[in-house]
Amino acid sequence: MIASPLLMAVGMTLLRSFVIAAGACWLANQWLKSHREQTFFSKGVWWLFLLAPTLTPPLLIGYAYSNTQFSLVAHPWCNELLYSFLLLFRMMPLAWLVLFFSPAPPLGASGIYCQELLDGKRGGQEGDGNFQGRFRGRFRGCFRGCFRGGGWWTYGPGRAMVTAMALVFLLVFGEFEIASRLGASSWTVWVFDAQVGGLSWEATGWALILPVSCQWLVFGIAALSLAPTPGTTPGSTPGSIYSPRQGAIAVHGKGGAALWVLGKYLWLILAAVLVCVGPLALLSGSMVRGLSAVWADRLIMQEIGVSLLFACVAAAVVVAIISRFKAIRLGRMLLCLPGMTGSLVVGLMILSIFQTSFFVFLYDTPIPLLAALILMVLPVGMILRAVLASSGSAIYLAEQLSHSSKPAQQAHGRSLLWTLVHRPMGLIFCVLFYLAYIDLPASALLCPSGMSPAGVRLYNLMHYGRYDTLGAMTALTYACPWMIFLLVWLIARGRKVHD
Amino acid sequence: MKHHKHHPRKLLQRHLHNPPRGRSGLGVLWIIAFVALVALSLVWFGRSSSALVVYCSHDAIYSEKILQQFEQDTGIKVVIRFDTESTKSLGLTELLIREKEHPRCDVFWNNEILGTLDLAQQGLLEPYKGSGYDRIPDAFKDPQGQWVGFGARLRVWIINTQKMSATPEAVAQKLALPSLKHLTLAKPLYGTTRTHYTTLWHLWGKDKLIQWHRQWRQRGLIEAQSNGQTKNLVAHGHNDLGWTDTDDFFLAREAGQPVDMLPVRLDNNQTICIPNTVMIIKGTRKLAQAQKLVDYLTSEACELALSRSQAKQIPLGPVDESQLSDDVKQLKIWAKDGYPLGQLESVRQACLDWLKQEYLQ
Repeated sequence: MIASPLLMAVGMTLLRSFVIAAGACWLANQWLKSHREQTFFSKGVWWLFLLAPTLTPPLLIGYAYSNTQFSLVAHPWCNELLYSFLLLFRMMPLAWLVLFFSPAPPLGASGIYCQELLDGKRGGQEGDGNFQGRFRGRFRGCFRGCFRGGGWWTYGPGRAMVTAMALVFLLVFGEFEIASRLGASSWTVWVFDAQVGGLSWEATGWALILPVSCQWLVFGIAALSLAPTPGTTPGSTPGSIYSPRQGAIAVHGKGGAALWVLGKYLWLILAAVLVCVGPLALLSGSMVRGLSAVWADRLIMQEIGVSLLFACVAAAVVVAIISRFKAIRLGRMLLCLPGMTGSLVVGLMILSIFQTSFFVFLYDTPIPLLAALILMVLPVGMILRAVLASSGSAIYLAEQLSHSSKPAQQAHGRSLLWTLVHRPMGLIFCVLFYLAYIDLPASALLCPSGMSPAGVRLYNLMHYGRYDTLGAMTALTYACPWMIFLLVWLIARGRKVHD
Repeated sequence: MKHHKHHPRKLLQRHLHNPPRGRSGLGVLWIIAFVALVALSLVWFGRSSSALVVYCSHDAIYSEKILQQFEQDTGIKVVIRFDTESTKSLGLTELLIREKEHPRCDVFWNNEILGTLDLAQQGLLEPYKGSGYDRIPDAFKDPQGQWVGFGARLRVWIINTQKMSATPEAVAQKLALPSLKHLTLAKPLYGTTRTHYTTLWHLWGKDKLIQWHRQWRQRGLIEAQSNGQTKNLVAHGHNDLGWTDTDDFFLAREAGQPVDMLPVRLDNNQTICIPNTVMIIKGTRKLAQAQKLVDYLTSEACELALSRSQAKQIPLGPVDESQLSDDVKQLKIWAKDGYPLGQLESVRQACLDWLKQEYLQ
């Protein structure tokens, strides 16, 4: 039987996830409409501001705001609002990215326009006559557009919206680290608390049925929205669902566009300050002073190295797996199901598997943690792969070009191949690498003795407040992957320029 | 005309249905993965197989130095697995229970006692009465030698001195107020607050504890996520007073926050003194090394080192008093009134079941 606090926690998480997913997608959609390549910021700064909140480790955010929670402890709804806004700030860029990078839908603007004309005509016919009839007709038209006029959702821009919403929903629904720090009501925190004094795997499994079903359902919807459309090959329509040059004025009018652009910059700055700069500033004050102590700390260096290795192997394996899949299909979806349950549950699941007599010889090895990390990042990899997949025909043509007898054409072909194939895969690898690197619950549960990832130790030390050495350790730990990304980016850029 | 299999259209169609793989940069990724895997394996194999595996739920910031000193003094390599706050309810005690069929831990340094009693009851501990065992008072060790306590902390009232004075009378006055919104304590599902509740259950009985608990909650008691948060709530002035441990209190005081403390006194005037406990896990293949570590941790030198740490832990055995700070000397006096926590075994599970029912069902 499902306990009532669990039911409430699941309900609360569902509601929060849905509201944040819808809000993030609506905002992202509005942003895209007013997006221009030429912005007030330079392109690099724009991307930095956009992605900073999403890429800030939840560990840092939760840690930074755990003190703020104190003043809200008597006002749980304010605490809930704080938590929800932090998540919205973190997730909105993800929705934007999905919409921005999604290939154009099979049903183009003219197709949708024709359908709207058709629907409008029907609505008008149904609405002929009195006011009630007109209202009913319009309502039906609207209803048909949203739910039955499947064209927009299944073949039009709605496909990408569904994907973005599903992705945000799943990430918010499975969030644990910030929720536990802020004391927010969430099913993940409930599962965590329920383990105290031991909880059998069976009991945990029963408790997980409802939330996991919700996750799988949403994932199923996302997978369906990403499934190839009959008569087309995956990603066969190049380009984004929105043209970056579309401009704001055409969509909002002059005044509206200006307001949107202003709001967008305010949001960007606010999100970056609240979610990224603030938490980092808390630690950075003492960072420089503690750096010498950290430099001499052999253990943290070793732990960072271990974290990098685990993340690298897990991300590479997942990229290798998803590169074989062009589209999400049922069998492939099944591979993603365990990972949808979140790091904590995956960690517990893998732990119990490797405690069975059949697998116990592998228990104190890196394999359980690797398996958990792979399972966890696989769904994200699948979705990113489906979203960023380039057209097979485009790749084919680029390859043909790269094999041309003319050097200029060869170079152009290689450049196209880089844009169509290598860059998206590299991007996916980096995202998965980072997600695996910052994982905490599964790493804490499954790391082999003497091979603890850095994040586990940091979280332990954060219990004792802020001090110089911890600030430096945290900065170093989270700077490492970025330094690697920067290095790789410079190499890739150099190679591109060379080509 | 019959289509040849190399006809361009056929090639293109085949290509579209079976997209290219080898050219997608996978080769590079496989190389990266292989190199990382080899490096990971080297690190794993590089760990000395003779190393003693120690699970340690005591704060890493203090325990790490002591275990490193043990390595230096004895030459025995130690591999440490620390507990994290994130896994406090999935902590090392639960992990040891999950691992009971195939243990990999040799020695467990637990920073509390309830989990230790659980492990002892489940028969997961190897009895050992070494040199350290003899110097620790009976109240803080298992008669069979399954575990032994050392370096303890006390449950205390942490009081914001800008809000109230740190006297028993002022505390009593605050508790007599109809609203308890100025009072905070950690959710008693885990940690030393659970030990506190279990002690109250043992002393008062089930009914009185449940009535008291519900009454306090109805009066608006603020429940924090941990003792650390309780400390912060009081130190930052959001609450006037709360329950926490001495180590948390000293952190706040060292940080210059306006706090003072009083020991939590039970109805019979006893205090709650929660020792660290150390035990050898049954099935260890490094019994001799494990015994050396147990002796080391329960030695006078180790207790003194713990008392000198920021957590100011209380030595339980006889030590050179001249080496103790005034704070620790005072704590040692209070600790002498400590409730016999070894007796909690009989009510430990019942209290936990009720707490889970109260908070999770």
